[in-house]
Parts: sequence; C-alpha cells; structure tokens
Amino acid sequence: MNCKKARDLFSAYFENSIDASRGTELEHHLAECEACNRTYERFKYAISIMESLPEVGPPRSFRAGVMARVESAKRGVPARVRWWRLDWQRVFTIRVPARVAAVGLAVLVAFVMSLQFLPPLRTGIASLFWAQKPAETPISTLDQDSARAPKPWTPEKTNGSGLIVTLDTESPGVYLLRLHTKSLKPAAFEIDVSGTKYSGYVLADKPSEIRVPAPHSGSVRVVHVAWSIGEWGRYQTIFLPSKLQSRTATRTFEIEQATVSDVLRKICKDYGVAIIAWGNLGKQIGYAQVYQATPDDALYECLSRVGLKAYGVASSVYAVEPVR
Amino acid sequence: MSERSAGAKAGSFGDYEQLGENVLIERCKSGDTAAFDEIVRRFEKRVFNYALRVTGNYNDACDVAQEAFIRAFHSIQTFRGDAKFATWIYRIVTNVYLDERKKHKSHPTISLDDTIELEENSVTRQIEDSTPSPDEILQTKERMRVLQRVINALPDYQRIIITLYHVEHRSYEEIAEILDLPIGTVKSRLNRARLAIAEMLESEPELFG
Repeated sequence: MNCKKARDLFSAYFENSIDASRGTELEHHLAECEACNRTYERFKYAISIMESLPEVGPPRSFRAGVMARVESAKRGVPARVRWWRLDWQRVFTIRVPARVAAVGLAVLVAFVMSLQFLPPLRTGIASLFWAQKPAETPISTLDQDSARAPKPWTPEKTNGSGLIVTLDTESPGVYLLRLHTKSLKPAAFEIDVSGTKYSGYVLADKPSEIRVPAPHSGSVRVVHVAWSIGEWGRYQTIFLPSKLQSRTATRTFEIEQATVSDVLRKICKDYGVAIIAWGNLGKQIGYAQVYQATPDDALYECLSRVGLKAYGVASSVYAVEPVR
Repeated sequence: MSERSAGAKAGSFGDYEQLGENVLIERCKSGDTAAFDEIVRRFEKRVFNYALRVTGNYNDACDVAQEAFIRAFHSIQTFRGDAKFATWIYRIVTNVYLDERKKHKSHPTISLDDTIELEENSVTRQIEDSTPSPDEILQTKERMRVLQRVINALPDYQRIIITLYHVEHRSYEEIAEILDLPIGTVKSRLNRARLAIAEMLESEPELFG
C-alpha cells in the first residue's frame, strides 16, 4: 500500500467503517511508514480539536433584524416610479396610495439628500454655544467678522486652507494641539478643553499651540474646536485617550442606540487612539457589532452606516469626516 | 376550524413555542409571520454558527444568516416537508454563501502565515493590556482562533463539509442531501479536508503540540 492510498483510508479507519483486510493493510503501512504514522496522529488530533470549537450565537438583535425585513417584504416595497409613465392625474388622488407613497418617499429622499450637503455645524452655532461665558484664557481676541453668520462650508472653495489641527505628544501625559492655517485670512478659533476655554486666531505665519493634559487612565478627554475663516467655518471634536496605543489591537464589543460621539469616545478609550472628528456626531447608530476588530475595522463598522468615514492620519490618530 | 385560524386567534408567542415544526411551517406557508419568527428563534443559533464557521467572519456571518432566513421565508412554499427543515435551511445558507462568494470573486484568501502573525500580535496586545485572563484561557482562545483561520484557509467545499460534519454534527446522509452530492464524494472530501487541516496544524507545534 502506498502513502496516498493509506491516507485516503484514514477517515474510514478512524470511524471503524473500513473492511478488515484493508484495515490490516493500513496498520502494516502505518507501522512501516513514519511519515504516514505521524500524519495519522495529527489527523486524529485535528478531529478532536474541531469538536471543541465553541458555538457562537448571533447578535441579540439578529432575529428582530430578520423579522423587520420579513415584515417589510410582506408589506411590499412600492414599485419603482417611472416618472414618464405616471398617470399624474391619479398620482394626486388618494386612490393610488402606493404611488403617492412612492412620490412622497422620493421627495423625502431629495430633502434628506439636500440636508446632507449642508454643513453639519457651523461656527455660528458653535459661537452661540460658547457665547455664554467669555474665554477664560484668551490667547488673543476674536476677529469681529467671525460674529457674522457663516455661509455653508464648501470644500471646493476652501482648498484645504482652513484651520489645520495637528496632534502631537510633547511628553508623557501631555498632548500638544497645534493650530495653523494656510489661508491668507486669519482663522478665528474657540477651543473648549474640559470647560477651560481658549479663543484666538492664527495666521499663515502665526500658528498657535495648546497643551492639553491627558485624561486619567480609562477615561477620555474631549476637546471641542470651533473655527471660522471669513464666512465659513467648522466644528471639530477631538477625543484623546489616557495613553496612545498601537493600532493593531483587536476588540470585540457591541453598541446599541448610541450616538456617533458615544462610539468614538468608546473606540478612543478601548483602543487608545486619538480621533479628530467633524460632521454630525449626534447621529444615532442603531446597532453595530464589532468582533475581534482593529480600530480601522471598528470605525468602519460603526461609521459606514451613518455616512461618516475614518482614516488613519498617523500612528494611533484617526480623522473622521462625512463621506462626500 | 382549521389549525391555522385557531392559532391566529390564540395569537400569543407562548403558543408558538409549543407547536411542532411541521405546524409552524404550514402556518408560515399561509403567511403567518409570527410562526416564522418562532422558526427563526429555533434555528438562529445553528444557522448563525454555521454561517460564522463557513464565512470565518462575524459580520459576513450576520449577512449570510440573515439573507438565508429571508430566502427561506420567500421560498417556504417550495419546502415539501420530505426533508428536515434543518437540512433545508443548511442548504439555503450554503447557497447564499456560495452566491456571495461568486459575487465577490476578489475576496482575498487569507494566508495562514499572515493570520498567525496577526494572532500573535493580538495576543501580545492582550498581555500588554494586562487583561485579567489566565494563561490557559488565553491559549485555548488562541488555539481556537488559529483553528478557525486554518479552516478559513481550506477551499470552500472542504470548509463547508468540515463545518457540517464536525461543528454542526450532520450525518453523511444529511450532508449529501444538503450539498446534493453522492455520499461517497462527501466522505472522500471530508477525508481530504481533515488531512489538509492536520497538515496545516503541523506548522503550529507550540499551539497544537
């Protein structure tokens, strides 16, 4: 008996379903062939450990998710509207509810999409947020122009010349926020570091730096930055962990009914990564399950469903922004 | 009064838990979604676990398992009842998985070396993070992860057969029915898959002494 034939018989031999004469032949071969004998030992071991693979259940909301799809399939999705084939007279009567619903849905989608193109938060809103108290540690006074309501921010016009926030670790336990701009106009900013407010402006040749102490172990420091250049601006949130860790760690967790902000705070804390984010962080993420994921995967899993994306900008630092 | 309308009147979920599989399926066929909900409740663990072992990834498993149930719901009329529902749903999960694979032909095959390296990193990280895990638990977990990676590295048909036999504990006859293959082919493929796993584990002496 050659080795190939012998190995073909391993399962039958192991399960005792081999006929006696073939079994004896195989036993002779195993006694003579050390390689096959070793492989058979390994073969038996492989079978034994496969039996010990644990059963993993689905996420808690799995069944509800299936049933939601079943119910929606049962109700029936409105037929696709062919605008050129619509009987418009009937569209506006209550006798064609499916079509009315379809038109309504299309209008709603258009409305929601138009909202997506508006800036999520503007400096004007942020200014209102901080207008209650004057800055405690003013670096310099705010440009009067920034009090005007800003126009929507358009990426084409800014050409990347807004306020650039970079993060550095100066020494253990201290983060260095460096604010600079490539714009020819002054970039006015307001920063809130755990209740301590800073405001001022930076110029192309006059950057600014703010030292932020790292939070206590196991907590997260959240820094809000609002800035404006002329008539446009942005509101950014920076999540800082107690200690930066490498991005290769994996974690398993699930979130349910949490806002983007809550999730970023959790990812910052659990993985030890800093996150600089802008966009609507108040959006709700219904449910997300993260299984043995790196921070890249965890961020993708949680943010992709709310129109945000994340990318690494340095080791242990991520930027989060709306998908455009 | 028919079985169906009696159940609909009774209406509470508690009643459905008492019902046999065939009755539930008959109710599903007549459009009773609560009966289907009960079917999902009974099979979700098995279906999900099978999808997880076959896809090798939690998120894909969620998608495949959910899609399989939706397909089952839509084609419940074609379920004749001469096979067990479990066999039928395993067949659907397998088809959903293979269809997905076809769609994503570019799906990267995970190299065993890469995964082992990655696993080592994650273990190192866990130790650095001083997670309170006894060494044995860590080693068992690690062993299971490597084993899953090894299973992931098998060709589709071997991975499916290994999972059905060793994880889902299906018989040769059932596997033959699920995969629409002769029993002899199932047996020879299972043998090949076991040999492949044995060979791959040989490169992991520190974990699989």
